[in-house]
Amino acid sequence: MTQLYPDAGAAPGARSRLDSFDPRCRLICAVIASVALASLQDVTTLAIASVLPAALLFADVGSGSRVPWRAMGGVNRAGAVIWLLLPFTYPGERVFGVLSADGLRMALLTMWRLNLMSAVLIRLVTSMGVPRITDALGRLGVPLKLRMLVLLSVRYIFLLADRAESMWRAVSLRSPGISGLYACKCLACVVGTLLIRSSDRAERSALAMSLRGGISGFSQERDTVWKPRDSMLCAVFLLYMACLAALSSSAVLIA
Amino acid sequence: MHISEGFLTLPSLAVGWAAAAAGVSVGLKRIDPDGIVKVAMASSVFFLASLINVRIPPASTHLSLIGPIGLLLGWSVFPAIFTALLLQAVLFQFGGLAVLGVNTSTMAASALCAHLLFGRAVRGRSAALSAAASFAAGAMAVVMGAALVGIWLAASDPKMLASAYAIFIAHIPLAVIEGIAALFMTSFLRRSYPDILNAAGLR
Repeated sequence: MTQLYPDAGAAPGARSRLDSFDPRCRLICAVIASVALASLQDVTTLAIASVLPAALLFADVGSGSRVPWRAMGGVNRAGAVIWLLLPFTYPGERVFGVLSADGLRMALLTMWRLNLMSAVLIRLVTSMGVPRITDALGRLGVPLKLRMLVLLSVRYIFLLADRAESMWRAVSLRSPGISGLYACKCLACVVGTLLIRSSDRAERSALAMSLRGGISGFSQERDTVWKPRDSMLCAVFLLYMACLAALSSSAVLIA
Repeated sequence: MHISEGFLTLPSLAVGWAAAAAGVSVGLKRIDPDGIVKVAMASSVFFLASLINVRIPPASTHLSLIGPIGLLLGWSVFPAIFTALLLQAVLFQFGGLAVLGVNTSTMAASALCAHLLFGRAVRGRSAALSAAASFAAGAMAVVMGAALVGIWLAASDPKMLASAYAIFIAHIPLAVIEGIAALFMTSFLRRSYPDILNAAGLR
């Protein structure tokens, strides 16, 4: 079973320079940067656009905060299937008789964009952790039901993880090297058992929650204040987006 | 079945977010306050199940189980899958946050279709029909998900159509495996705790 590792380049309790900004500001900046980066199509603009994500990735290190190499490796592994396919399946002139030149270029651009967007999102959003993200989403108007669902899911994932792991270990001990159809059947039974046990627990939890005041008893938004430096950070990201849009349109005109 | 950051253009990302927002808001409206805990539990169970590595010679795979989660949750599958994908992105950097809308709409729409097309037959009296419908739901959800991934990629760049076909074909053996897993799971639930398939809070 894959291990649960909440790693976004920050040790537990670590403080990064970005932590001094309002979580809402970090979410807004992440959206602006994603919009700016998602529309980039040429190498020169991507090279210029790399400055800000690189600064976020490498400059904000210290006091327990480190470069999230593991997280960056994870995003590249997840995207590898598609960008490895591109040189073989993309139309256009062939290199070595198999690889498409346009496909290679596209794979490079896609991998580059993937890393830039991931660097920004990992530093600005993921490193905040689930509670601060849901808190910020609440302050931006996301419904309480959804935030509650996220928080409860986090709680139950870690609660049920031990149970799921021990059940799967028991299956593996009874049938070493289990595979094929029998593995599917065992997985189905493990998931079914987990569902049945968690259903009982869910009923008890729902009852306990309703006694505490139901959904309304769940709200725990912290009192954060939007400071001038938050507006400054948003302005920097807006300027970044405007510069990239101008560069992209001039690159299109030149082409 | 995840699309990573960087592959889709801005309009595709925007359409994906709009579709996911619409689905999530409908799903949230259908969850009663007591049902939130059940949906969270179901979402957590499927999240954990997707982490278990199953050996299917000659390879090994992590099953997505989107067909069974759709059969169980109905419209609530939109917020449940949104939550699971958000947590996958935050805890594992799997998928991504900008593409969260596209991935949610792809997987949740497939799961919801499985529920709408086969849910009644799965809960029906005939065990044989239920087994067949469970297999069809599990397999169809994966096939539809792979087709939607292909559509998103081709909509972003029509030259990615061949990649989209390759991804679709690669998912066909996985669809058979997921169908078998769905069949085993629903037959286990029908034997052990049939009420869970009819849970009012999970529609």
